[in-house]
Amino acid sequence: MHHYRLIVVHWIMLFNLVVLSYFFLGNGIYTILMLLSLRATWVHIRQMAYHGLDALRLSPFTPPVTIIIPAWNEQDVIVNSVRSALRSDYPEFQVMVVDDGSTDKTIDRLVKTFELSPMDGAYQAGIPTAPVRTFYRNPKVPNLVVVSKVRGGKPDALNAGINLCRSPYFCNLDADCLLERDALLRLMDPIVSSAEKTVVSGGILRILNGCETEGGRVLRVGLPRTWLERFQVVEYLRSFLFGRTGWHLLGGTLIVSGAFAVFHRATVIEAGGFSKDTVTEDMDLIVQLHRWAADNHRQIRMSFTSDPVCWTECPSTIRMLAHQRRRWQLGLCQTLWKHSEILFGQRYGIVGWLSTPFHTYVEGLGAAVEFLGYFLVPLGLFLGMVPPGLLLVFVLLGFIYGGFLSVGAVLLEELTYRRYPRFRDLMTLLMFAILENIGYRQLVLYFRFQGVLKFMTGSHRWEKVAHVGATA
Amino acid sequence: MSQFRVFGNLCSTHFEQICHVIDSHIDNAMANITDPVIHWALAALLCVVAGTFLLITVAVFRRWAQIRFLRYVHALRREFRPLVAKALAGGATAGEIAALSELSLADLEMLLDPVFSKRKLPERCLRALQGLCAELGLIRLWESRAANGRAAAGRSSESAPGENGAERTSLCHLLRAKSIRNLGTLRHRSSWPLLIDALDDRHVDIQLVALRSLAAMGAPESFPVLNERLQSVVQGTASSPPRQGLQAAMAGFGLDCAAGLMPSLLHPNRSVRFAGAEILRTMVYRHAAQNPEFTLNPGLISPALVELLLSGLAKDSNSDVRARAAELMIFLTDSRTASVMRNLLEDSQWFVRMRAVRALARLGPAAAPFYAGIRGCLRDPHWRVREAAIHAFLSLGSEGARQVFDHFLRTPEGAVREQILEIVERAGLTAALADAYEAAGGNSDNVPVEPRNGNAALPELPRTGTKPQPVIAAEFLHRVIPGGEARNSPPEASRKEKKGASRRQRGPDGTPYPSV
Repeated sequence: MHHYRLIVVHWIMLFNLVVLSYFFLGNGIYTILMLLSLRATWVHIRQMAYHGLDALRLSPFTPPVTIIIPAWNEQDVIVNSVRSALRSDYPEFQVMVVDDGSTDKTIDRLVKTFELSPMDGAYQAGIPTAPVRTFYRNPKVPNLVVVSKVRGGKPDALNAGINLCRSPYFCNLDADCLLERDALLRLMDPIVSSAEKTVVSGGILRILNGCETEGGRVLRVGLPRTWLERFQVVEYLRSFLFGRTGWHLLGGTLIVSGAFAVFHRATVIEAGGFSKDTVTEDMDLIVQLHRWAADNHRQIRMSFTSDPVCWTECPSTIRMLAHQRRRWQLGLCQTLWKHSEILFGQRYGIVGWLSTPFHTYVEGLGAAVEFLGYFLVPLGLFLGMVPPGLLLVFVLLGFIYGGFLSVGAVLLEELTYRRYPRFRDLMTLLMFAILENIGYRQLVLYFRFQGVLKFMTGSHRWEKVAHVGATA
Repeated sequence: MSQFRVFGNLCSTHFEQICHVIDSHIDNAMANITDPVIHWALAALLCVVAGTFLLITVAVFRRWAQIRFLRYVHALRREFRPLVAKALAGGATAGEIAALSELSLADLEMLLDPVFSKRKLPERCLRALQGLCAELGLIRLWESRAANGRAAAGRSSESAPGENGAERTSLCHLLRAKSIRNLGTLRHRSSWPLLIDALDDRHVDIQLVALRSLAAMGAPESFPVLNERLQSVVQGTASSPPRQGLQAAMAGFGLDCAAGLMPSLLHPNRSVRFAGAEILRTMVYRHAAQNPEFTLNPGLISPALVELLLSGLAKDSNSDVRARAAELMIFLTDSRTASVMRNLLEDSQWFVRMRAVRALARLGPAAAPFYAGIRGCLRDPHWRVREAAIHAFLSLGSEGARQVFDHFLRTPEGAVREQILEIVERAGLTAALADAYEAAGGNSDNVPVEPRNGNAALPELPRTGTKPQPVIAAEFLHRVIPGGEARNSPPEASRKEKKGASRRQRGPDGTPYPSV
């Protein structure tokens, strides 16, 4: 009996060490990312004061872009999304809506609003996809084309869009998103300005809930009303302003939001296009591109800038939030598992030695580690297996330091973009940044843990987040 | 239920023991408070809490300071805006200028910043702004910043560039970049050597802003220096400034500088020749976009350059150079152009043929002598050449459209028919094509059309309206023809509408993309 007790004690002690290392590693890297992003974003925002966008807007070298909007049952949001895309301030672009076999009125609303007519068109499936059914056009809106195809999933719809697009670059845009007028121009700026071959350029997603919109345009930026959405505002700020920016600066970009990003078409085709193996096709493609570049000895660059803004609707109910986070976690685990060769792979540099291990341990397995930590650390203390100091450190790292990082993200927003104009908004954001780690973080952690369990059971189900129409 | 009862009994039996265990652990915890780990943890906790509050304070203070700053700027601009507007219109008196000069240089910069942020200033306004900035001492300030804090006086156009280029940056690069931008916007030509020096700055942003400012200034003396830089960058002997920025800047110079490209166009390195040709092409097309009647007459470019274009670049071993030469040919007035162009239409490389056809499309009805060559491209093995040929024919007016219809009705090649059909359908006027079919007098068996949907033979394709045929045809031509034919039919309002739409149409409809 004593023997078994010893084993249990040792296992719990070992787990406590794992929990501690998770918190130290996670918070340590996030602190580094925050410091890096703070400087880089501050410099970037000042660069724009003299850099401007006119050079890009007027340059004959600015490449054309196709905005691909995959849509499946998006009748409430699609029209405004297309309107916002069509309003983009960019020299040459086309908007291509790929309807992935919607069963609602997605096509009808597009046809009615933009007076489209069904027309034939040539389709060459460079990347294999489900069959394309009909093309819709209106000569009066020459840069809009709507393509109807047999349902094959979001990656399939994106691949169909890639096959149809004729420009060297394409931009993914989710159907529930609204583009800011100059977002595309800002997104293409790092591609055109860089001497290296930039194959991916990502921008920031901001939460639309609470903003005043009209016809696909954000008229007034404001905070959402419910606590759940406000927590997500802080979370997005943290994730995009210093998470993605920081990884970009370190050269270890592993995630670029598929809701809004520009890709180099030929490179994506060479890398095989969007894969259906995972439920997060965007991350999968990024990792695939890293692998492709290393395997083929190509020098590619992936960029992230935090000033091209795309407004998106966040889940407003706990149920929808659960769907979203489970899917994200499942996709993360699937992608990391699929590309496990990258982990500590010598050829992959920062991505192999820092970014992938971090995402595997902190973002992937971390969900399970932290979730179980909330139970096992207090239990260990209760049973006398955990010193109180450890519990204190656990609380410090789990709650207090998380608050510090979230407040840091709000400060970064304040120092740079200041998109929430009212003083009251700033105070609300700061308050939610502190409160985020008490309750909301644990709730999201629970959904992430469920995602890990889904991955372990081999689930591939795509959980759709219904949009209530904040863009409408 | 019995299990729960047993568990309840067990708990009540051992309740005292459990309480004792908890008490002992609390005692242990209190005893262990002296443990150094706990001390460190508590200290860290306090630091983090203090840090969080510090961040909150900074955020709130920053917002407060920003509000104050914006109010100050707003008040400053409100007070002096009429004066600045008057000065820019050239109507300010000496007393009013003196009032402005009493402001600090920082305030003046803030006051004039909106003017410098404008895309383009009218010439008169620019001259007034130059005078104003010189009088207020802003030019000296910006030159000094551009020279990285050194005395700028010795670094204006009198001294040779490159003397102090590698000096270490001491001023904030943001300030310097803004100053360089302002010098460029002002077109203060005598500052060009400072800007050439800035091309060696360690900060790439400074290099890019300097390039843009050099292009905006357009000082002919700086062009040969840039050309040398281009050669070094293309050959890899220098890594800065960025090649794209350099090319874009050189393309921004006037055509009077084009002769300065000769060393690059004659360079033994094929990539340098290509870069030179690309710059020349962009220069020419920029001018052509402003003037529909534009030609490269001997007054604009040197005869040596014309000779080089006809006998050198059009026969270059680098196919990319030939492709660029093909695009330039259409602007030459030399009698040898036609034969050179025909050769380029039959080039061995598909993209040379494609660019040649696309270039001819710009000519409108004047491209009639090349009908045979373009018709040959309708049968080209490469689909993009065929597509370019279709577009070219449609741009040549009604006769060109007839050629396309004719080819559509006669060709046995399904892919070609599909391409033509797609372009016609994009215009939403298949009726015109249907009428052509009817005019051909055949039934659907005679017209080899296999639309993708399978069930729609040509006569059943959707017609866009019930307008009489001539109206449809005119509208068809108006919509698909991006230039020459507009003079035939459309009214003024629709022409304006088309001008806006034509830019949007270029991408999707497959007309020139920057690189192939």
